[in-house]
This record gives sequence, C-alpha cells and structure tokens, in this order.
Amino acid sequence: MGREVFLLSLLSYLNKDGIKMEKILLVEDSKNIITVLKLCLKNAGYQVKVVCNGVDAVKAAFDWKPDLILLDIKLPKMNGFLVCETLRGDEIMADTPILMLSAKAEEEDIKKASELGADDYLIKPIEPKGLLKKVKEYL
Amino acid sequence: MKVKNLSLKTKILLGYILVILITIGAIGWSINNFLKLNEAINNIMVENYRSVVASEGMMEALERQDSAELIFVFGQQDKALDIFQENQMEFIKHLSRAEDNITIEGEREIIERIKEEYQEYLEKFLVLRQTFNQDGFEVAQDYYLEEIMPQFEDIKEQTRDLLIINQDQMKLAQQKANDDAEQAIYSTIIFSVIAVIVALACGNYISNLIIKPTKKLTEKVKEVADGNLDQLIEVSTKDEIGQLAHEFNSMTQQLKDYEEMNINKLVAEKKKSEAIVKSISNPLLVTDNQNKLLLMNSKAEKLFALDEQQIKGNHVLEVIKEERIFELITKTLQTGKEQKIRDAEALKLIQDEKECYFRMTTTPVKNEDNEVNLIIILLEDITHLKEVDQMKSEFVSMVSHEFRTPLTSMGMAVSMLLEGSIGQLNEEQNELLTVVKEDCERLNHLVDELLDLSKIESGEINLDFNSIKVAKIFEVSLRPFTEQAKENGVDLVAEEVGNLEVYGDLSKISWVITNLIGNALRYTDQGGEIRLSAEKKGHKVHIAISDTGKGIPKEYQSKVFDKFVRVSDDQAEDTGTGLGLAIAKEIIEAHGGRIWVDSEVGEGSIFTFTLKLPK
Repeated sequence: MGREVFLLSLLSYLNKDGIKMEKILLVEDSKNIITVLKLCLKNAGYQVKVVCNGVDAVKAAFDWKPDLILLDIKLPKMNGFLVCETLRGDEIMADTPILMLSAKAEEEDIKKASELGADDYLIKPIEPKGLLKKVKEYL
Repeated sequence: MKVKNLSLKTKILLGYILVILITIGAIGWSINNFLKLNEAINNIMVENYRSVVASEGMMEALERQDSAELIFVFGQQDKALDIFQENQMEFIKHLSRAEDNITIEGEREIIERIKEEYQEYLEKFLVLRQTFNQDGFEVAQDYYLEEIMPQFEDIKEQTRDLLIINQDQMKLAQQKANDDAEQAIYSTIIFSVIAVIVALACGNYISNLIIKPTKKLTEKVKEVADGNLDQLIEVSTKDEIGQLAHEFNSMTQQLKDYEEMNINKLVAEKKKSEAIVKSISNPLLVTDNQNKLLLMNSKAEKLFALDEQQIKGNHVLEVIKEERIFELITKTLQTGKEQKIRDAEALKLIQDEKECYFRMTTTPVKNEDNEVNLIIILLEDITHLKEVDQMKSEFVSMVSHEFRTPLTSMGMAVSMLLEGSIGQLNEEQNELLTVVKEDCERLNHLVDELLDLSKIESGEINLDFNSIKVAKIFEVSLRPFTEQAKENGVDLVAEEVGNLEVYGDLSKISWVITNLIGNALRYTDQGGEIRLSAEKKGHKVHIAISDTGKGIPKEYQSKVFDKFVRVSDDQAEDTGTGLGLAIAKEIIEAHGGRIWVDSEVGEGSIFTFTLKLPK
C-alpha cells in the first residue's frame, strides 16, 4: 500500500514536470462505484478527479479542464443530461469527450444523451475491461 | 220467437212458404174467378134459358089452343078437342118447367097469375062448349070474342112478360159474366204483381239475411288475416252465420289472447334483458349490424355524457367519437367473433375530468342464420388495475435500478480482482470470486428481464414493425449459439424457408427465438438436435423450435409461460430466471400472435408461435 501511494505521488509529481497523464473527471454519487472506478482508472494510468453532484461537476470541468468526463445521469442537484447540456453550451467544453454512465438502458435516454452531445453511453453494470477500452477510444 | 233467433234454414223455408202461400192465394183467386164466371154462365144457360124456352113453349101451346077453340067454334069439334087437349098438356108441361125454374124476383107472381088465368081460360072453354051445344054458333062466337079472346090475350101477355123478364135476366147475367171476367183479369193481374213483388222482397230479404253478415264476416276475416286482431263482429242473429260470427269472435279473441301472451312474454324478456343491462356496473352498449345504437346502460350514458333516449338509433360514430370502439365493432362484424383489446392497449377515456382506462370486449349475437345482428360492447374500467400496474412497473423499475448500482460496483470489483490487476490470487480465492461473479451476472440478468417484462406488460415497449425474412431471423438468432452448441454436442439446424417473410420487430422476435434456443440447449443432452422451422398457414406464419430434450410434463405445459414457473425437477434451475417464456409470450402477443408448447416427456418439446404475414 505504501508503495502504491508513493508511486501515485511520484506520478503526479512527474506529471507536473511535463509527463502527460490524461485527466478524467468522474461524476458519480455512489460511494462504492466511485471507489471501484477510481481504482480501475488510476490503475490504468489516468489522473482521476471525483465529484458527487452535477453542480460540482460543471464547476470542476471548467476549473480542472479534464480530457474526458465520465458522467452518471442520476445525480443530486443537477442531473447528467443537464450537466452535459451546460458543458456543451460552452466553447471550452465543446470537444471534451463525455461518456454517459447509467443504469438506465432506455433507448430514449440513449437518444437524449446523444442529442445533448454525449459521445457515448455506457450501461451499468460494465466490465472494467470494457470501460477502459471505451475510455481509450476517446483519448 | 223473434226472426233473429231462427235458423237460416228456417228463414229460407219461411220465405219459400210465404211465396208459396202467395202463389196459392193467386191460384185460389183465379179459381174463384173461374167459378164465378162458371156460375154466371150457368145462370144464363140453366136458369134463364130454360124459362125462356118454357115461355116460348107455353106461348106456342096457347096459340094452338086458341086455334083449336076457333076450329071448335067453326064446327069441327072433335078435331078441335084433340088439338086443345094435346096443347093443354104441352102448356102445363112448359108451365111446370117454368115453375121449377123460378130464379128471378117477380117470376113466381107472374107464373101464379098465368096459372090462375089459364085455369079460368080452361073453364071458359068448357063454358064455350056448353054454349055452343045449347045456344048455337052465334052465341058461342060472341062468347069467344067477348070472354075467351081477352083471356087468351091476357095469358099470352103474361107469358110474354115471363119471357121478357127472363130474357132481360139473361142479358143481365151476360153483363155480369162480362164484368166478372174483366174483374177477374184485373184482380188476377194485381194479385200476380203483388205476388211477384212480395216474392222478390222475400228473396231479397233472405239474400240479405245471408249475404250481409257473410260480407261483414269476409271483411273481418281479411282484416284478421292482415294481423289486425282487434276485430269483433257484432253478432245480431242466432242463425248459422251468427254462430259462425260467434265462433269467429272467440277464435279472434283466442288469437289475441295468445298474441298478447306472447307479447307479454317478449316484453317480460325484453324488460329482463334491459334490467340486466342496466344493472351491469360497467359501461355497456348494444348496437345492431348497421352500427346503430340500440341500448346503453346508465354507466355508459355517464361515461359518454349521453342520454339513451336521445341517441337511440343513431350511428355509433355520430355519438361516440372513439375510433377504436368503432374499429373493434367493425372487426367483430367482419369476423363474427368476439374481440378484445389487450390491457396494455386499454382504451383511454376522460371521465369526470380524469383519465380512465377501459378494457373493451365486443361480443357478437348471432341469429338463426349465423349472421351477426347485435353486438354487445362491454367496457371494463381497469383504471385501478392500470394504476396498480403502473405502481408495480415503477416499483420494479425502481428496485431494478437500486439493484444495478450495488451490482455494478460488486461486479467491477470482482472482475478487477479476478483480472489480477490488483494483485495475484491463489486458486481458492479465484474459485470463490468466480462464484461471486457468476451470481452477480445472474442477478444482473434477472434485473434486466424484470425490467423488460414490466416494460412490455405496461405497454411501454415500442415495436419497430417491418417485413423481415424468416431466414434472416434464424441467422440472427442462431449466431450466438453456434459455439455453445458445438461444445454441447448438439445439432443446431435451421430448415430452408425460402423467401418467407413475416411482419414484426426483428430484435424482439430474435430475442424470443434466442430465449427458446437457450432453453432448448439447457435441456438437450449430447447427440440431440434443435431444429428451427417455419411454415405459412393461412394468413399466419408458424415458427417452431423443436428439441429432442427431456420434454415438459403435461401439467406444466400450460404454465410454462407464467412468471417464475419452473418444472419441479428442473436440474438446470440455477441458470434460468423463470421470466424468459413470460417475456416471449408478451412479445408474441404484442405482435398479434400466440405461442404454445407441444411436448412429450423423454421425447422433446416443440415451441410454436405465430406471426402475421407482411401487409
């Protein structure tokens, strides 16, 4: 454990010095999913920032400027669709890949997400391999 | 006894008797006239004519006696006496004849006088004879001239009188006979005319007696034949026609009673049916085969805000602007079969400013010729059911989503562990985590199917209808199984179906077949066969998935399409969710088809479902 923490801090340190690590903003409200996804993405070598509601997500997107956003739909304060719409409404965020991540597999939701400018729609549950494959595709 | 009460026969007989009596009267009258005439002729011939002949005889005899007296006076006494006596006899003979035939008033007196004077005449002749003998010719001659001749003249005069009155009487009798004959002619004519008139009147009366009531009867019979049973013939007579009329009246009355009884029965039946209709607590309409509204109960009146009395006989579409109701009625009329709409497609109507859902059933009522003449439309308010269903769907949906989140984290966590990216696992740890992963997947699958089912049941699912080649469906459905079938040693065969097409949603139909193949694979041992076939039957296509598996016991065959039903000794229990066939059934029914299973334990099962041909 100690070794991992060391390695991570080393990586962030190295990043500061110009070694590029893609930044992924994870917007999710379920604590356990956050734990698993964060671990999965970090293990794969991505820099991950987690926010738990829609408002924080928008804020973090503009402040932190992630390379990719994993966005849950069911969120407190502001739902995923609204977040997506808000972000796409700004030039800065116009091209940032947004992958929706939802337990709802309704066709209308998928259609709505696509209309609002989301790049993909991932349905929970998802295999770590599958998730990483998708993320890689958009980075 | 009044005429009215007599029988027709008696009436006719009486009429004839009357005519016969009049005829007899006429004949009697004629005979009477003939007799009168006869008498008149008799009077002339017998009574007067004889007297006339006698008078003439008397006059002749008297003349001769007078001649005899003259001859006597002139000397030939013997000859004169002979002549005198001879004619005396003659005169008396005629006189007695006249005396026997006294018929006229005054005749007797004349004869009596003649008799007296003749007596004197005879005595005077005796005196003459004596005078002649004693006093001679001269004296006798004077005596003759003075005594006998006037006597002779007198008798002659009397006899002439007798002749004249008899001749006059003859003339009178002739006149009378003529008068009688004339009278007889007139009276006979009058009598005959009266007889003819009376006979005609009688005939007319009798004819009327028969014809009038017969005519009346005929008219009434015609009216009764036309169905107007309120006919009562006024019976005024008691003859045969009266009896007939009476019988006719009682027959009409009986017919009327019978009809009324039938009408009462019908009315009672109608009232009963109407009461039943009215008492039904669901909206109910009845239409005829012309789509005209015949009946609606108060619930239906309330639902459509209509008044039955006002809209009776109107076309359904005029008063109820719900095309789906009309569509279903039309379909029932065309097919002659009961039609229903699925709960998922329940009719949405606004009642009391609230959305209500109605299940609709249209039942045809057929006549003897098997033609639909009535359609009963029953609407069942299933709003409550819909609400419960909605709650259930929402609940299932919510629960599923709530399951999803923990399942996601669990699944991913286990996957990451099994991948070894977090750290190497020993064999036992690996085995245990595999169990966790498999059950995670099973739970995921269950949640998916529950969601699918609730969606289909609540009608939320949208079917993307297209014409699809059956071969294409088979290909899509078989693809995921080729690998597994090879591993299990089971032959997976799709029969050649040519260009056969069906109308439906490719993904949903494939889902059904996939599910059925999945089941079949689960229950079919190595060396077995799973076969897909399709066949056009009428307007439908039958698609069958047969296997050589262990089969389904009879008692389960009807239940396998229910939710969470499993065959009790199902050893493959741990792999299925118990929802697949229920979903399959919902999908096929949403396509307007049906699904069933034929199976023999130990020989295999055949699942068959029907789909429509492309339009």
